[in-house]
Amino acid sequence: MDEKTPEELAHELLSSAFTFEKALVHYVRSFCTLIECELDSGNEESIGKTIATLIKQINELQYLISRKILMLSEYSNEYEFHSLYLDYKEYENGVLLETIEQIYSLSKKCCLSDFIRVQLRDDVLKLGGTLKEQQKMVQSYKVHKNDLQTIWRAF
Amino acid sequence: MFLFPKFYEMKKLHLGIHLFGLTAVNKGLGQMTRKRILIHILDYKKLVKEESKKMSMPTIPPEPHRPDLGEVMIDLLESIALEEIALSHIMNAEAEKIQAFVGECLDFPTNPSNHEIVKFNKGVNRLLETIVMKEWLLLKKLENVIDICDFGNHCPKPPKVKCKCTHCCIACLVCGVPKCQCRCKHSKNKKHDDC
Repeated sequence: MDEKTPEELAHELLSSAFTFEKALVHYVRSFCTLIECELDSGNEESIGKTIATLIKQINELQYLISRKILMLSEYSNEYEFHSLYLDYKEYENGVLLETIEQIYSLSKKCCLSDFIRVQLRDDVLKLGGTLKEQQKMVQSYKVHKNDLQTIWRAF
Repeated sequence: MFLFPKFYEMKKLHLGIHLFGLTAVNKGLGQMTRKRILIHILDYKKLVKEESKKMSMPTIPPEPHRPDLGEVMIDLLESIALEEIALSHIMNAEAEKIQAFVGECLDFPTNPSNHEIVKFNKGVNRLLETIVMKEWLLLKKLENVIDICDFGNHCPKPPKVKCKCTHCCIACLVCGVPKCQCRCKHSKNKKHDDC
């Protein structure tokens, strides 16, 4: 069996990170639906705390993923990295932040202390910041968007 | 695995013999008998020591192929990727579980009570918490592996291709591809192939 090159390994790790991010988006969307249904059925008390924990944890997960992607992007092929990002972006397309905003707006219907509300708002802002940073990082790779190699590897 | 019962049996035996030896000495047996008993005690003490040594040092079965550092690093990096994919599968499964719980028509098809819904919520949150912890561990593992194997030094970055020709950004009139990348019949810029 041939040994994998560091570049191939970095690509593998990056693709697994993006797969994880996709799974996270899927999870958050499902959770949002659950919260909406619970609010309809009148479980406001328990939902407030759930939302606070959920947003905090998703914020942390997104930070971890971004850190990992940033670390690996240094070692990977620029074309491959960009094609992976394009593939992910097609799936995500800003859904994560939208869903989190939606969950945050649902939290306004729940009974929460002011302190937790401020924390929630901070967490949502942080998440937005992390996503923006990730996007900025990828912008630097956009130079290769029209490159034939990128287009071929995307398929 | 079988060392434990053997060891404890021996310890018991050793204790019994030791006690017997002491009582024998106390009861004033003959010198020869006392010597024999002491020899037995010493023999058992030696055996117990050997057994305890065996326990503290695990025996690794011989392997025909011992991987070198490079192979180990590759295995570690692959394991990180596989663990991450496994985590994403778990998250996907959890998302589908939530969807099944809520139902397609968003009407909770299993008719759960409030208590059951709260319990379900807690379970879902607990999973996310575990995943966050696992992600931290994976990130630390990745950082350590990269530090050890000096990942970057062996990873040649592709040289940035710079086009030497002028007007390379103008697209080909026939196929629309930038001139330096155009390979179509009608392109006049065939010499751009090497840029």
